[in-house]
Amino acid sequence: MEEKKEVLQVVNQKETLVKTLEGQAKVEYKYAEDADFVTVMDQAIERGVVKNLDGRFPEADAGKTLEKQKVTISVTNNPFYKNRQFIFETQFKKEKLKGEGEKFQLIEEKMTKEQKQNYREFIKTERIKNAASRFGSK
Amino acid sequence: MALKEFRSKRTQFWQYMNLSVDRALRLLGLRSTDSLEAGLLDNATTITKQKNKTIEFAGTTYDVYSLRGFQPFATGVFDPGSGLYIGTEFFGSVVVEQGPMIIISDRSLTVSSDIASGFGFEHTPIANGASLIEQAGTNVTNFPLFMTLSQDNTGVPVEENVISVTTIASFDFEAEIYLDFDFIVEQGTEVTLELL
Repeated sequence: MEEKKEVLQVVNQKETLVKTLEGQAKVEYKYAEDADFVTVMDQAIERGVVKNLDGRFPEADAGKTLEKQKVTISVTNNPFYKNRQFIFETQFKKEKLKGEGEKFQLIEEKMTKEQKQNYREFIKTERIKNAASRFGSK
Repeated sequence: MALKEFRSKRTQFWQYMNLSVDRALRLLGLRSTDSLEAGLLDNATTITKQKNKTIEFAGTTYDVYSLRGFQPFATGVFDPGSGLYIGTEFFGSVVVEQGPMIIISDRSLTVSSDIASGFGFEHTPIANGASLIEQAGTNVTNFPLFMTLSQDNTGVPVEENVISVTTIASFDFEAEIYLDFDFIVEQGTEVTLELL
């Protein structure tokens, strides 16, 4: 079986692959002839990369002019990445579309010490709530 | 005078030898000291990399680390909603720069006084309903409904792993908790312990 090639690499601020990341990568095209974006690819991120069989973004529809490309990364296991969507606004260049192994950089919001302390408190509260539902009222 | 000088030289020689042997053993990873530090919310904890030890699995090489954490007086708080006593003890957050943190072995214990029943101090793994904890102030142990070691990274950046032990019991309790487990990370990944 042919090995899948990378379409996108999802990297952190240090440009390191975020292998622990879980989520979905969606690619949409906006054609000059159409009013809205259409989804051309929507697949899971596997250990920091988005792969398909030929390692390229899908071809544009024949006879249509590609105007914009939108890439949306939906991260499901980390609430602290803030830029999850890229839109290539300018007139589209075909070679950009076919780029292999492009890097999609996610910027992580730093969690303050206070937020982390609050998270500890949240864990405690949640476990108290879950105890009631798990073991019932005594 | 000669005897006194001989004794002094002999003491110096032994001190030198002990230091040299200690240094050599530490360099070889055969002797180490784990210093546990506490934060305001986190109990005394430390992590140590196991020297000269790696694990290979499915084409990936992993470094092996150990975590130790001490809480000699864990208690619960009464929750009127459920009528249960619930306590969560935190042991810092293990920050792994790249890849997962996988706990591969656990030697953690809970220790409780069962003196009034004539069984001394009970030592049991942190194993849910099979652990023995003391009914507060009685020196008699009983089984909790729930007692488990948790690794949580859902509400923090994905690199961080908050370590905690939660105990749920139908009675007011006291227990000592001693964490001692091994975990693996991808080889060369930076690992730090953050204590709050």
